[in-house]
Amino acid sequence: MAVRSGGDYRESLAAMSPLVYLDGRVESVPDHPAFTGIIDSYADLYDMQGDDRLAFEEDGSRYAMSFLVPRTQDDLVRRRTAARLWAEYSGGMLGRTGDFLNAALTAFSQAGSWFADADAQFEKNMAAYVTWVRENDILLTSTVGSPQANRSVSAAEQGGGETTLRVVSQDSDGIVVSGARMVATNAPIANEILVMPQTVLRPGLDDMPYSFAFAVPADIEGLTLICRRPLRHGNSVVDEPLAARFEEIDAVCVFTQVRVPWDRVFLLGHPAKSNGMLTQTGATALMAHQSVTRTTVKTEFYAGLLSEMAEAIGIDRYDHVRDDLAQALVAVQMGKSALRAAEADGAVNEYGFFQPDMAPLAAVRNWFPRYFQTLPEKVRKFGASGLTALPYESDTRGELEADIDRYLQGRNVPGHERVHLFNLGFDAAVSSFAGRQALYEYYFHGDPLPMSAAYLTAADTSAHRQIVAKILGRGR
Amino acid sequence: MSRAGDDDRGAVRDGFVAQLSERADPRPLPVPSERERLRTAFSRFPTGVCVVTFEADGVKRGITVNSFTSVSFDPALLLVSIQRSASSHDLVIDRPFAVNVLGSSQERVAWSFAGRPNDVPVWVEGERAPRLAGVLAWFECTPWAAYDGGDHTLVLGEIQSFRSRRGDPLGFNGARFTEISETVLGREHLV
Ligand SMILES: Cc1cc2nc3c(=O)[nH]c(=O)nc-3n(C[C@H](O)[C@H](O)[C@H](O)COP(=O)(O)OP(=O)(O)OC[C@H]3O[C@@H](n4cnc5c(N)ncnc54)[C@H](O)[C@@H]3O)c2cc1C
Repeated sequence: MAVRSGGDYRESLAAMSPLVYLDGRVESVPDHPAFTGIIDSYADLYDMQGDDRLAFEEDGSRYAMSFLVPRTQDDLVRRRTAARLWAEYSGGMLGRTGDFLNAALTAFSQAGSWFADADAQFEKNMAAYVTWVRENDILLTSTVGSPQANRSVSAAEQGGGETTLRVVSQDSDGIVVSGARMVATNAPIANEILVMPQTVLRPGLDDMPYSFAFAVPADIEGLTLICRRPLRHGNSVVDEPLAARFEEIDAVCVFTQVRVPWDRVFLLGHPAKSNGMLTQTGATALMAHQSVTRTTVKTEFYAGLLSEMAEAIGIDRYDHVRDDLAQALVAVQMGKSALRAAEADGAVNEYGFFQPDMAPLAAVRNWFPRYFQTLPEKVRKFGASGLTALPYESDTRGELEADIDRYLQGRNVPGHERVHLFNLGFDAAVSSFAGRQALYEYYFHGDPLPMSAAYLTAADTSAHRQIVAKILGRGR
Repeated sequence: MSRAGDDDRGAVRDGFVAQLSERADPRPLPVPSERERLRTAFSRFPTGVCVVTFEADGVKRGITVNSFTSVSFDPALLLVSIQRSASSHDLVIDRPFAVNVLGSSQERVAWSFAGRPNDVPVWVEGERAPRLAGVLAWFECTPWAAYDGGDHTLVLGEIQSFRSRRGDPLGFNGARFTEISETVLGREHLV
């Protein structure tokens, strides 16, 4: 089958029956109002795959471009172009589109020897799994973090050792796991959940039951998905331009004696190795190439929104506004430059695929989560009371139409258009949807603080110090 | 949690498993041996880290140990337990030796005498045995007694000379090196 259409995706969801709770049991995910908008959007993305920039051909089949194994710099450009088209669709608001985890699977499929180093069976399992996902264009999400009970003790000790997902027994069919994972964004509308190793496991016996990687169908027996409250209010796409279409729900994953067949186990019982599953296989680099593409598009979206808003109310000539706009454009250029540098300085890795250089991508990953927080702030600064004067779409028509077009007009747009634009600003900077986006970007790669600590530890500052030492006339 | 009316779930509905032509062999978690479990249990007791140093046939040698115990004041005795299978076991039991207590910045020194030699250790000529530089305490000993300790030998040394100073020790806990903070004044960088 290979690349699928929106219709295929909808059919796949209709054939599933995940146990989802959202203010009670959700009988049918595709029919529930919390999911219709997002499912429509994902279906649109799959429909876009008719475009040759989003798919590649191999042995007579067309596959999603995110499965293209990069062999050259050009292949990375093709991957980026595809990631960019999908990201543009939502202004970068959709964080869990399939291309993100497909990037990881693409690396895993090549890094067979990394899995075989633990056990040849794990290499086989992963290879068969990636083939199946690729052939069927399956939508994956993933989950890593442990329940947040007491962060002053290790993951294994959360809630007295009873809360973190762990292997509770094993038999000839597979492993049985119980416990919870804190979040899997999109789990209710995904086909499969990749359950990645908990990071920072320690060698030795203690962390053995926690050291695994496997994938399960989102509707596997024993898995309960507990959703947070939706952020959209059920209004029109004019009232809620982002929330109505791009809300990816977050769900707590509770595993109660879930039986995972051996075929779906990719790693088990190698706590020290588990920590490196993403970085050592090159998965981190391919995933970062996708995510930096997405976050760069997101910065472009905010730069575009700020420009439109500034022009709409005639503040675009003021220096402080121009300064803010210039900074946003600089940020866009930083992201684009990092991507080009990562591609240009990429190299064929030990697994034979062309891996983007991690250095520029790592820099963006350490910068963007914090920088992003300033973009909604600029939107609020530009929009001011305009972000509150936002009548319902229905009120902008009918008897109030004349008043709204007069009193809410912008410099160059009639009232209802200005309201529409500022609704977008509201959803990008003020609404609950915007708050969740800020949270999402801040924690997208994990907690930024240990990330920057690790970044610094890995950094080689000797060349920088050498400059100082030379100026001081100090020999080293 | 159970679901009414959903009894056709599980492996049958698993699209991935259903299409496999060959099923995976089980690769269960190994059942830990008694020895591994005992080793883990022992590792719950935190210790400092020492290097036992001596010279044999003109070569300076060291063994990293965490089995240091103070034994007696009069006479002044200490104990280290040395694995019989260690290559230096036979050499150390009837020779003068020194016990060096490592500081928190000396993890590489510990590794150097625990199977991963490196060029970090700096030797100091002692009166009876070679010692290591930068340690928190050292004790030069002459052999006092050696006792059977199963697959280890309990080596008692009579302390002939020693020195010590303040500083954060290197610790060993849960089979990992760690830093034990001596005071609230912060970490002391050993020279
Ligand atoms: C909207 C959203 C969607 C997400 N979606 C997914 C998903 O789909 N899949 C997935 O796997 N993950 C997802 N995550 C999880 C994300 O990876 C985590 O939020 C991130 O790794 C941080 O972990 P945490 O939330 O457990 O924070 P915590 O570790 O609980 O941290 C909370 C705070 O305490 C501080 N803190 C915690 N421990 C320490 C310590 N030892 N020393 C000092 N300070 C400490 C942190 O710095 C932070 O400020 C999502 C998160 C969000 C917010």
